[in-house]
Amino acid sequence: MMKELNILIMAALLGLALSGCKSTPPKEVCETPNTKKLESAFSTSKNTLSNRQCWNTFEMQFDELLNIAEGAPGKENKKKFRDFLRWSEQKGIVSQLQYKKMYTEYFTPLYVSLPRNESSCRAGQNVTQITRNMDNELVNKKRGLLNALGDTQAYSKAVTDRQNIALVLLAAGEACNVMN
Amino acid sequence: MKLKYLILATTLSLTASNIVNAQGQSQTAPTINLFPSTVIQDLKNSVRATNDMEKGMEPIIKQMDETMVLFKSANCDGEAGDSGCSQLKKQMQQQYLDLLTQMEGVLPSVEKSIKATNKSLAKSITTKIGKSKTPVQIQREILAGKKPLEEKLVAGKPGKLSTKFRKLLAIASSKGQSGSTVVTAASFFLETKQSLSLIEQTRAAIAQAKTQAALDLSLGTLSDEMINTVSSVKSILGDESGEVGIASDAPLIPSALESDTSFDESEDIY
Repeated sequence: MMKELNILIMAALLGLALSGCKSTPPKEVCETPNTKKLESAFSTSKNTLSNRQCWNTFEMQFDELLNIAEGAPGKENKKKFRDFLRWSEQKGIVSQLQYKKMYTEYFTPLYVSLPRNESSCRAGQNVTQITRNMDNELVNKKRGLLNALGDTQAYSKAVTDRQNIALVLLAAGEACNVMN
Repeated sequence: MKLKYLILATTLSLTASNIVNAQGQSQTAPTINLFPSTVIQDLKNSVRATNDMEKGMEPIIKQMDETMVLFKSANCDGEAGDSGCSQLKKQMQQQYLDLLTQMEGVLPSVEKSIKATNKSLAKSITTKIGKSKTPVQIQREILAGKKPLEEKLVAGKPGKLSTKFRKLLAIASSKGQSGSTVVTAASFFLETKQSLSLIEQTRAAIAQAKTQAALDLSLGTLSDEMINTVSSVKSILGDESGEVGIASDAPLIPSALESDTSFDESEDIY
């Protein structure tokens, strides 16, 4: 009798454990776009991300969308990505800050990696690290601005601005050292 | 050869045209004035000092050129016993010594004026950028300077120092100061810093060359160093035939972009 009871308890526990696993859907449920058509790819991603349980695939979706856009560059892609990111923000998949950061980082010449709250005197002492961060960001700008949008002007603006910003920060650091 | 390098490097490091190249005249309202009257005054002094240097050196260079032409046309190369050739050789050596002495004499005033410009720019940059702007704000300033240059100037192009300073002075004095003025000021500040160090090295090298020149004069020989130095000095004075083989050593100042990138989605930008 006791033996049967134990089996029942174990079976119940196993059942509970298995039902807990159901909160993570099978991998194939969170589909990523598998097409070369960007429009349709955005639809797939939106459809997938409409399932709250697939929100953790957001970055993967974004990356895949970029890959597809890189295969068919065009300035019109900018609006598509903006709409997608805005949609993701409105759905609560990403925060407003994340949305703006991603959009700026990939699709504008502006650098989000620059320090926002420290003086240039201070930043000037850390130019190497700041430049490194800008270089990393430039890799994403290349994917977004150049490869996905084909916007060579904006991309070269980003490249030039990176040099100019580094130059000004270096000068600020040196000048502040002289005056202190 | 070391002296030649230093003189050339000094020249190139002072190429204000590099900086001018980074300047974009914007139609937007001025936001930062990095060239207050003190900087303008120091720039004026630099124009004067470099102008004086050029004016003082030009006649000696001209004399040397003439003597050299005479020396070559008289087939004096390798003529050891010819008294006329010996006379010409001595004349050239003396002119070379004069050139070094002249250069040695004017460099301190050039150095002084550049030092003053460097200091006033340091003060201006510290106050108006270093302490009061964040890197993000600098980025916005730079972004504002998006109009093309009215007068394109080639980066690293050799030319008269005084002309380069004069061009920079014109930019600094212009009312259309824009975001890229920040880049101009920053570049120029860094260049003056480097130049001061090079001038110091050049002065030391000239002292050495003078010793060698005095020795050459007593021995009656013409050294390659002399020919090279004269060529280098010519390049300072704006003779574009002077070698500029170390142009790649000059700091790289990116040129202003002519593109007018629009940002209609400002509310979406971080």
